[in-house]
Amino acid sequence: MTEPKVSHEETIVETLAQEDLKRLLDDHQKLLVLYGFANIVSAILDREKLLNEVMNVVFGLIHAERGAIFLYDAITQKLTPRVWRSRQAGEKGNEIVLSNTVVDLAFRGHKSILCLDAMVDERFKGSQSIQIQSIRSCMCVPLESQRRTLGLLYVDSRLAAGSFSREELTLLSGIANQTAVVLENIELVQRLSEERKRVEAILNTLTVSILSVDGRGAVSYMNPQAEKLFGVKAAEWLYRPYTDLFEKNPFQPLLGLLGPALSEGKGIRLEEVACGELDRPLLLQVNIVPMREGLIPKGILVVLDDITEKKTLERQIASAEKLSAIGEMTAGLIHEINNPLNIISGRAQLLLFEKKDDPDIAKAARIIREQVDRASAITDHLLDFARQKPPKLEVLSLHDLLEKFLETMDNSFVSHQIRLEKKFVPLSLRIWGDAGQLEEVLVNLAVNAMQAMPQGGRFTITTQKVKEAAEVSFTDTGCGIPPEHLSKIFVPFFTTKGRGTGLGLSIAHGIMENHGGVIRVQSQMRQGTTFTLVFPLVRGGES
Amino acid sequence: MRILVVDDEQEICNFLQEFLTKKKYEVVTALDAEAALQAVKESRPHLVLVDIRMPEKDGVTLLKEIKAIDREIGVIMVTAIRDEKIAKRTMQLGADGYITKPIDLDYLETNILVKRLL
Repeated sequence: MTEPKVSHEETIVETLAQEDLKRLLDDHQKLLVLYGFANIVSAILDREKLLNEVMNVVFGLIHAERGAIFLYDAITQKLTPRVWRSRQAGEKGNEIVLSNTVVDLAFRGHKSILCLDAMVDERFKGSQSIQIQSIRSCMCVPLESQRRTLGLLYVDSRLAAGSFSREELTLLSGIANQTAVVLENIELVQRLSEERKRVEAILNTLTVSILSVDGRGAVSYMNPQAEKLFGVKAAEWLYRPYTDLFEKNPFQPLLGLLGPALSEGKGIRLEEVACGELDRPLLLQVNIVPMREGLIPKGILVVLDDITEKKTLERQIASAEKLSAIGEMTAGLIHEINNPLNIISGRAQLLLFEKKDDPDIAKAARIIREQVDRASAITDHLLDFARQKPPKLEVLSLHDLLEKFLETMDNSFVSHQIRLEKKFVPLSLRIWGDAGQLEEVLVNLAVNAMQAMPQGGRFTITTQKVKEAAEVSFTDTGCGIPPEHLSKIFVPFFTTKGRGTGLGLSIAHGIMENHGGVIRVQSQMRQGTTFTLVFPLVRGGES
Repeated sequence: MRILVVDDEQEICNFLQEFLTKKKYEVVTALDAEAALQAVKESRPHLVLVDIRMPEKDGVTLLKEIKAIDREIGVIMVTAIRDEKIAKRTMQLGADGYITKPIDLDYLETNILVKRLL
């Protein structure tokens, strides 16, 4: 009888097959874990969370006793353990000290290290940290991205030599590579977010308005200044057509610039574009910058600077300089005229003194003297005109100013039999003004009104808010101004009064101009005259 | 009473001199500040009429120099152009009066009389 022969070889083959199967299953398991790991970590944006997840997977797949991830800090130029783990209860992972040899080989040498028995490994001969920590086996792989080495992934065992295999080193390297990619991503996202914050902070602090329009003509960004300028919320306007935004008053003049800039991808820079209306001018410095991706136009960046106040100020300064030049010239002129007038007057007075008994000569001398005085009065007023100072502007309440003025004029109105009527709008109208100069204007208008109503009458003061301006009207029930004179009344020296120098209204006109305001007149013969003063309101000036 | 008239215009000096002489004052004239200082030292006037705007040295400087020589000498400033700031300054510097051209001779005489009484 022959026993079935089981060859020794067959047993070996079977064992091998079983081992292969086991290894295959094991590998399959590992692959699944790795796959799961890749899926999980690629979505992680938090560095600590990522490193912990990596440790989980390493300890799940490899029988390491201790493990740590060291990250390189480019500023301190040090490798610091950012996460650590130990299977030994009570042991702290931060006691893991990397030997310089490991750092040199793995980090600087860009090599993965597998050490089966550190005690006898030639590479670690004399490494104190290996000796002190009595490390038997260790693996260390660099965390390398495409550009640089970010750190090290390290595991060790003090229990036995040969704890790790070459396969495990390959596995660890795979994990390290994946980790490095995600680490790099996290860093990029972080840097991007920081960059974005920095750019936003810059854009927020800029005093110019910036908005961008994408290639399809949709608003894609507005900084806070632009929100303020347009009086809108950026969130409500994003991805809406820019034409809708610029159709709003007073920005239409810009539409004609943006269209071609967008379609042709051409930059435009204009020093001054007048938008807005007469009583609320808006001057913008416009800079349109085309954005490109390569050669393809990708929308435009619109930079708007509100230069209204700057320009107004510049004009005021120019006008002040002009005034001061005229003032100097006039003062010199008056000086030159007054000296001969002085001599004529002096001689006439002497004549009057000497020949007071000769009625003809005395009369002539008196007339000469009177006429010299008249001429001298004109030069005196001219001096006032020439000495007009630029207004010292401060925020004034228009109604307070009017009330104060009316108080001082009250007696005059009563004595001229003039009834005063006030029609003030129930708003607080705040204007920029020089109280002293404006009072001069008011007195001038009041005196004119009184002279126009020698028999008495009604004097009405009306205030109202018209758009962004405050208007004060002074209406008398006097004789009115002939239409042919209306255009001349603000011209210096124009007068229809027997007395007077014809400078009052021209001074008032100059003062209003220096205030950035306007003086207007309307008149109906035998019905009365209305003078209207228009002041720009302090922005946000009514309440 | 001796009066010094200082003005760079000869004609102004002339009519003032005529007028004041008729009013029985002793009158000296000078066409500029240097001549005026010379006259002040030589003839010690009781009162000086000083034009403010003169070429070379102006009236305000002359006022200071006259007052430095003798505070008792009265000085009345005469100006072709009214200027409150300068008026105030000359008063602080010790001027005794400030009148504008064209000069009202009655007013001038009142000013002189006042100075004489003081």
